[in-house]
Amino acid sequence: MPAASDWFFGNRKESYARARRNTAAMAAAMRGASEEDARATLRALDGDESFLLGALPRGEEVRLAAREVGRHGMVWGSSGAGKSYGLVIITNGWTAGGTRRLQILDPKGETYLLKSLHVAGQYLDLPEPEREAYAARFRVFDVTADALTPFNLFAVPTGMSPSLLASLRAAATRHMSGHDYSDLMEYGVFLLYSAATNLQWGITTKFVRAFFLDAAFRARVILPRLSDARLRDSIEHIETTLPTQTRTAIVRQFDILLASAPARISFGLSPAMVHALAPADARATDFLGNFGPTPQRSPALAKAMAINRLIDVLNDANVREEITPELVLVEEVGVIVKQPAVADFLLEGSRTLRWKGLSMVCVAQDPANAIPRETATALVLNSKWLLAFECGKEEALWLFPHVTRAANQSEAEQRQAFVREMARLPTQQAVLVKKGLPAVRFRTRDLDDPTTRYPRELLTETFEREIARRSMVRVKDAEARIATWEADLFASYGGSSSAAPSTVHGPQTGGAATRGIADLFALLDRARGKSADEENSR
Amino acid sequence: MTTLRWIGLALLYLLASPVYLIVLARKAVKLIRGAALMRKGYLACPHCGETNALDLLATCPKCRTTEYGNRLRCTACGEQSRGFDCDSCGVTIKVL
Repeated sequence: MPAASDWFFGNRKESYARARRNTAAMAAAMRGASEEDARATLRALDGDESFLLGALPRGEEVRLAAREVGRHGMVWGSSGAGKSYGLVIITNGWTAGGTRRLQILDPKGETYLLKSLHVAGQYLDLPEPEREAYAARFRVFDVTADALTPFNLFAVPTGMSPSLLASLRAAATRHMSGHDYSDLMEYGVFLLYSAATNLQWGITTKFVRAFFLDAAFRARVILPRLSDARLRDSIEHIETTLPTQTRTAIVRQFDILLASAPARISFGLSPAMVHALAPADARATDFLGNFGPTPQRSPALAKAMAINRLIDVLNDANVREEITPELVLVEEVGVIVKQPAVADFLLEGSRTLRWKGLSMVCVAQDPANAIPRETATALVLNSKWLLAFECGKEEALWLFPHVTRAANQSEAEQRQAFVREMARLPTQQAVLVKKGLPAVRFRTRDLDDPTTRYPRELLTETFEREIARRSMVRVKDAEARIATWEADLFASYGGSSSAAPSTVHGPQTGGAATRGIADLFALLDRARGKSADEENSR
Repeated sequence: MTTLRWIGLALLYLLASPVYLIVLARKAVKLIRGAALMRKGYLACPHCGETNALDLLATCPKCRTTEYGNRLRCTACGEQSRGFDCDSCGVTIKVL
């Protein structure tokens, strides 16, 4: 039978030799095609103001034009795969022109650290007269033992809805707590932030206690000053809409949340105080945010501040009239988009802010697992370029549709091979996809290491002293201002509110003590409202 | 009775023999054409016209052995395929 089979199929040795020749010829043709594909992609990525990103295995340079970076992108890869190095190359290239804005939000702190060493290195490389202008380019969001960058949490950007800002800040605050917030608690926090935003005040634990638990304080201090009639009405009826238990629960939460100095200052400084302590420098174009955990700040607070910073960046872009090229690099995006309200806001920004010149680059270790599925799908869909380092199966499959296929393997075999290849990519090796063009695999270039020129300590110290400190305020100064404001506020109120839960006043506790004529009128108003309600219900 | 049955059977075969001859002839022609094709080593896709090599590095769909040789025959398990998918357009080309 083998003889008959051989007669039909031909001599095995000849068949083998022909198969070797044919396979080699096909592989050469495919290589040619894939090289042509890669060349086409490289040509499309290159352009005006391009910078060197890396090189193909055969040595051709991969250059990325600023135009390409200025479109939404996504970067992912496991820890140690070379993401941070790649991101520093991209951000350095983006800001090389000097006119484009850069926002880095780093809840991990790694990219920030690497970037800060490079910034310090460049600062030290410059001649003395040029250093001042270079340092003025940067605004840093960071926390140290004795200083921190103040947040302007309650300043409403021109044209923005204060209630939207309050609801977003409430979502970020919820993120800070390990507890589940009920709808009522969320509503209470929203009212608190709405009041702070309307009044342009900060928030302290004493203020929160008085706001929720002292009806007289609300009646005499808050309500007369509120300009929004609807908000005034909501706060006036807070005791009917929010049970005492909920209000005390919120107070307890804020006692915990505002326990650390960075939290007290971030929430306690009013917009006017922030302006007085750290006026914004109009020359700043590079905003570097370190929201990594530090000994001074809990990871939860750091993440909440990262969310607040993202809210500010998107708000600013939203209300900005001029078109300014701005790259927003969101590291560890999975941490930031956990709250649906923030995820929606981010997606909305990615959909609508492109025409304002804003491009968003979302970075994650394993976006398929770290980001809710719908958000991840929307982010990948909205991204015009994808940069993937060593990664898992799900992320590799996002890239596979853009990979040039081989002719002699089935789709399934190629998919499996690609997933395996992505899981084993060496450090700094990456796959870059520009949507609509074949993917290219390349190695990111080696980053110039400033620690070879200057001692690491000098770089860190230079960055902190010459660059970061420009944006930061001393903890002592900020706390003194907040304490003065708080003392003045409660002194004007009469200083009687210890605002402890034991001094809870209001219809629910029946302890409506009056301290002045305003209290008496407020009490009468409430009583009248109550009796009118009772009559209506009858 | 038995003799009659044998004679009847032989007559039936005799009557059917032209059909068998035609079938055999067709099979022979197909085999000869197939063998000529195998020696030629290439086959044009009837759909896209792309020339497909028959001798190639191929994986057996049954035992997954990958070897250099004729893509329609596996020397490991003896599996013989009747056709293959065009390398260019993916249309199945029937050979046998």
